[in-house]
Amino acid sequence: MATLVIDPVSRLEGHLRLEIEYEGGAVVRARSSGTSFRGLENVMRGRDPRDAAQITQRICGVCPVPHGRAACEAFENAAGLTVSPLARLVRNVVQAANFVDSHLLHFYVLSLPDYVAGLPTAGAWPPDRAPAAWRAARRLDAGLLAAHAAEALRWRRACQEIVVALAGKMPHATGLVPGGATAVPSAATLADLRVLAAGVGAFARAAYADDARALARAFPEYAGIGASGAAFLAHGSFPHADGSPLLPGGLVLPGDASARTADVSLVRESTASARYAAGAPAHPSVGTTEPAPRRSDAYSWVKAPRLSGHPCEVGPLARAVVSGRHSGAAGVMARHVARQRESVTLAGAVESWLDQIAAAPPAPSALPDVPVSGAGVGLTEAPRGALGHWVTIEASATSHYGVVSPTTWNASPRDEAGVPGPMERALEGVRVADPADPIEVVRVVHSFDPCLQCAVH
Amino acid sequence: MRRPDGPGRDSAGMGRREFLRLSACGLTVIGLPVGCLREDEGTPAADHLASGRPVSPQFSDARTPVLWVEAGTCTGCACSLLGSRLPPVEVLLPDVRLEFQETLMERFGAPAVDHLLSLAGAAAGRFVLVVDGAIPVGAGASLTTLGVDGRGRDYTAAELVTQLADRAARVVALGTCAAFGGIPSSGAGAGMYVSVAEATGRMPLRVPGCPPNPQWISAALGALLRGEALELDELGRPMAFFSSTVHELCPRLGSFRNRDFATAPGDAVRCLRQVGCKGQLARGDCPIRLWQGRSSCVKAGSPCVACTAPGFPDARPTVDGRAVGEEGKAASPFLRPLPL
Repeated sequence: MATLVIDPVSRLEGHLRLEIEYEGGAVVRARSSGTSFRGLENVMRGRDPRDAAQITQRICGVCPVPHGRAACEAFENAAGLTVSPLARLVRNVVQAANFVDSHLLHFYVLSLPDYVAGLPTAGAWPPDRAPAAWRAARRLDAGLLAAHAAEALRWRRACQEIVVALAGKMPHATGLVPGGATAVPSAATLADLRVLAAGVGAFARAAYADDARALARAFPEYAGIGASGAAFLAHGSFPHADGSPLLPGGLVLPGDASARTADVSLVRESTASARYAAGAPAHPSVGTTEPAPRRSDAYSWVKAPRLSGHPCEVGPLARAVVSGRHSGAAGVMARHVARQRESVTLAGAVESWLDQIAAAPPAPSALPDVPVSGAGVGLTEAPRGALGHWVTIEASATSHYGVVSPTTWNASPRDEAGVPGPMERALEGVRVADPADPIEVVRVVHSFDPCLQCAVH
Repeated sequence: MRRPDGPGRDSAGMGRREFLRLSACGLTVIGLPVGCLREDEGTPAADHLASGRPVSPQFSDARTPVLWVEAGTCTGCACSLLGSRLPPVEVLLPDVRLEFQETLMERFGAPAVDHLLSLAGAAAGRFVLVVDGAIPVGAGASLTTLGVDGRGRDYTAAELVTQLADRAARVVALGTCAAFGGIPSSGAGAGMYVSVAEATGRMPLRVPGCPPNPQWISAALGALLRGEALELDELGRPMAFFSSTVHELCPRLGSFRNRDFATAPGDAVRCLRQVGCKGQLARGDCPIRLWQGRSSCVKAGSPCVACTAPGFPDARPTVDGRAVGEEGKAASPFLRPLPL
C-alpha cells in the first residue's frame, strides 16, 4: 500500500489536506483534514448575543449570508421573537442570491479547471505537467467555457448587487440584524433587482445548464464515481408565508426511497479524530471546542457530526434527494447538475419574492432586547448544505455558541466507531491513473464544494 | 520601522499592464478567452492563443509575480476581489501574474508549495506578497498549516508568511485580520492570532476592511505593480481611501448634526448612531465608493460595524506601538451606541 498526501487541495474555500492510501491504482482509504482552526464559536463567548449575526458571518466569506441568518434566527428563537413578512422576504432574497453567487463560483472558477485546460486561472500548471494527460479535450469547447466563465463572474456580481442593495455589503452583510432586516428599497431599486435576478436566471437556465450537461456527457464515468453512500440530510430553508420551506428539510437513510423527519436533537459531534479535548460525542448546543493540537490520535480540526450515528451528505444534491427531485446515481456529476438546477429554482424565486417585497407593508424593525437567559437554534441551508447555529444566553451574554456547518458534515473525519465521513467514503475505490497527478481524487473532492473554514470555524 | 511605500522600491520586473487603465477606458473582454488582451503585443501568450494551445501567461513573463497567502482566513477578501466590478474581475485577474492563491490556483499539493517557495527564491526582492487572514503564532502556530512541500515538510502559516515576507519586495496585509488581527484575534483568540506586522516584524501596506472594498484592493495592488508611489498614512493605509471616517462621508450626517436619531436599524433617513453605528471609529470611503456601485451599510439602513478599524471587533488602543485614538475603540457590541 502506498500513501499520497495532497496538501493543500486548492480551488476550494479554506485549507484542506488529504492523505490517500492506494493499492492497485485505486484508493483504499482516505483521510481528510481541515488544517486551520480559528475558534469563532469561542470568540462569541461572553458577547452580546446579537453580535453573532456579524461575528459568525466571518466564518465564511463565500457563504456569509446563511450564517448571518442562522445567527439571527437562533437569537430570535431564544428571545421568542417573530420577524415581519418583509424581513422574511428580504432574508430569502439575499440568501438565495448568495446561493447562486456561490454555485456559479464553484462550477466556473473552482471546478472546471479539473476538466478543461486554458481557462482563466491563477497558478496554472506548467506545460511540462502536460494537462492533456489528465484533461483530454473530450469534446468540451474550452473557448466557449472560458467565455461562459467570464460571463458567470458578471452574473455573480449581479447576485452580489442584490445582496448589497438589500443588506448593505457583500461579503459580510450588515443588514442581517436580529429582529428584522434593514432594507428600505425603493420601487425603482426593486425593479432593478428584478432585472438582475431575471438575467441570473436566464444564464442559469441556458449557459450553465448546457455546460453542466456537457461536462456530464464528456465524463460519463463520473456519474457513478464519488458517491458517498451516506444518508442525505437537509434542514430546509427559504420559508414561505406559512412557514413551509421552498427547499424542504428531511433525512433519507441509505436504501430508503423517501425522506423522514430529521430530528436534530439527535445530532452528536464526535471528537474522536478531531483535535479537541477528548470526550463523549456531544450535541452542538453543549459541546465544547477546546483545541488540543498535540493529540496524536486526531488528524483534523473538523469535528465529526452524526445524526443517530449516521454520517450525512449535505448540499444541493442532498436537498434534491430529500425533496424527491433526484433519484439514481449520486456521484460527482449529480452534484454539479443539482447545483445548476437549484440555481434556476432560486433565481426564479428571487423574482417572485422581490414582487412580494414591493407589495409588503413597511415594517420598521425594532431593536430587540437581549433576554436575561434563554437558548435558541437557527436551522437553515447554506449553498453547501445544512447549517445549524445554537446559542445559550446567561446573564444577558452568550455563554455557549455552537455551529455545525455543511462541510463539517461532508468533510468530517472518522468518528469514535471508526466510520469515515462522506467525502472520505466517496474517495474509496476511486481509480488514480497517475499518483503524481491525482486529478481523479481532486474531482471527487471538488464535487462536494468543500468549505473548510466553515467546517472548522 | 520603514515606510512601506519608498518610491522606486519596485525597480525591477514592473507589471507591464496598467490594469486600472483598462477600467478607466471601459474595456471589457467578456466572452474572450484569457490572453486576448496581449494579442496586439506579440507576446508568448498571444502566440499560444494563435496556436490554439492553452494559455499559460506566467511563463516567459516579465511581470511582477504576486504570491497571495491566505492564513487564518474566511476567504472574504478573495471573494470581495472576485466581485470586482470596476475593473471587472474577468479583466483584472488575467492581467495579474498571480502565481499562488489557494482558492483560485490550478496547482495543488506539494508541486504548488514547491512552486511558491522556488519562485520566492528566484524572484527574491522582486515579488509582491499578499496576506489575508490572521496568523496564529508561538505555541499556537500549528493551529493553521498551509501545505507540504516535495520533501514532505509541513509549513505553518507563521513559517510560510515569515519566510516569504523576508524576501518580498512589498507586503500587503489585506483585510482587517491581516492588517490588525481582526476577529480571530479577539476574545478567546487574543494572543493566539496576530496581524502580519506582529507575525513578521515588517510593516506592511495595510488595506483593512472586513472585507476590503474590491476597489481598495485593485487600486492598491495596481499601484504597487505599476511602481507608483502610494500616499500612505501613519499606519500604512492608502490615504486615497482611508483619510476620512465613514461618519464624515455618511449620507445621514445631517440628521446626526440635528440629533435626529433612528430608534431601530432600517430607518430610512435618520442617523443610526443610537442603534450602534460605529462610523465615527472607522476610516473608509464606503458611503461614497459603494459596493457593486449600488449601496453601502449606512445607505442600506444597517449600522456600520467599523470593520476597517483596529478596534474591530474589540478595543485595540495601539498599532505598531502607536496610539490610534478613536479608531482603537471597540466596535462591539455592534448594536449598542458609543458613549456620547
